[in-house]
Amino acid sequence: MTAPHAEQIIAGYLARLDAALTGVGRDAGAELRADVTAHIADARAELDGESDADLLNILDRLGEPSALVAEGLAAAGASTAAGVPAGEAGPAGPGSSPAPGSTPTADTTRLLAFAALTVMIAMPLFLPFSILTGGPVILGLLLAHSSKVWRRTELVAAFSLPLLSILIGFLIASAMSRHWAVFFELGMVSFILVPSAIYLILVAGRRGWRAPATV
Amino acid sequence: MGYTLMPMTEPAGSLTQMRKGALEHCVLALLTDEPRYGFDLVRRLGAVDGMLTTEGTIYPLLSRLRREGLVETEWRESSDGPPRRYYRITTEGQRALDTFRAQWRVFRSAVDTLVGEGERG
Repeated sequence: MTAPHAEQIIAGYLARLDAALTGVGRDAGAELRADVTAHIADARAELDGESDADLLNILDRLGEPSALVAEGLAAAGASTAAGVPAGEAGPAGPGSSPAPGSTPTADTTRLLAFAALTVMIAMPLFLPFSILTGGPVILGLLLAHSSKVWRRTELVAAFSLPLLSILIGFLIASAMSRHWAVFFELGMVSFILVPSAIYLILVAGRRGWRAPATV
Repeated sequence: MGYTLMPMTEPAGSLTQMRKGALEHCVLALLTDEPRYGFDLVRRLGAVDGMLTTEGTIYPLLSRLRREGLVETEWRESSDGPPRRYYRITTEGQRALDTFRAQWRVFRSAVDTLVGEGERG
């Protein structure tokens, strides 16, 4: 016995699923779709004499398509972060957009964030008066980025001035005597890098040194 | 970009988190006796109150377990309909389950001791 509007109800659900799957890797999307289709078929087979309401109940329990897709992306992100390569048919294939849950574990996150700040502040002090100062700052930027504690806009705000001033500072310092150049670069480091680092610490501290959540 | 801070203190949220962590091990436990297909797992998890609120989330979970090598899959003919994907626990999955069982015992008694619901005394 088929419900009067079985076709429309199921087609509507699958259409919403397809819409939610836009941008998800093709294999992953096909897998979830096949699982969902099989689930609906199995659940229907259990009913004796299905009604439209029965079908709607099945779909309700199954969950909103967008929630299932989000779950899949989060799961893919979790296993990728744990060092497990995304499989050939995972919910989010490589190249798909990063998942909301794709953050490293809390410990790794904090370790990377602290390493970023240390490299950013301490290293330039040991390598002053040259364009080499830019090296540790860029390394700090990369570490800060991979820790995911900061948003891209926050990193741009914190790092664009130091990097720009290191470049300009180098040009000016190279025109000075070596003695003055040391003071110049040290001053630059303390006046620009330290405030940048303090800004990053404040931002991260307010979030409890965790990655910002996407909603 | 739509960033907001993560709500950390919602009771409903903490239950969701707890369920999430436990669910994958419940799935592994259900697979220790015999390989099962998706809907069969859903039915068994659904028989236990509060374990599976959104049935569909089991499928992304299963595909993650497979990618992590904790389960493997095979297609089997079914008597009534198209072939079904069956999930079988791997040695690695069994090991993960054993570890979880040991940790869960400790965790459960720790929480019982501390939360205790004021039942004793």
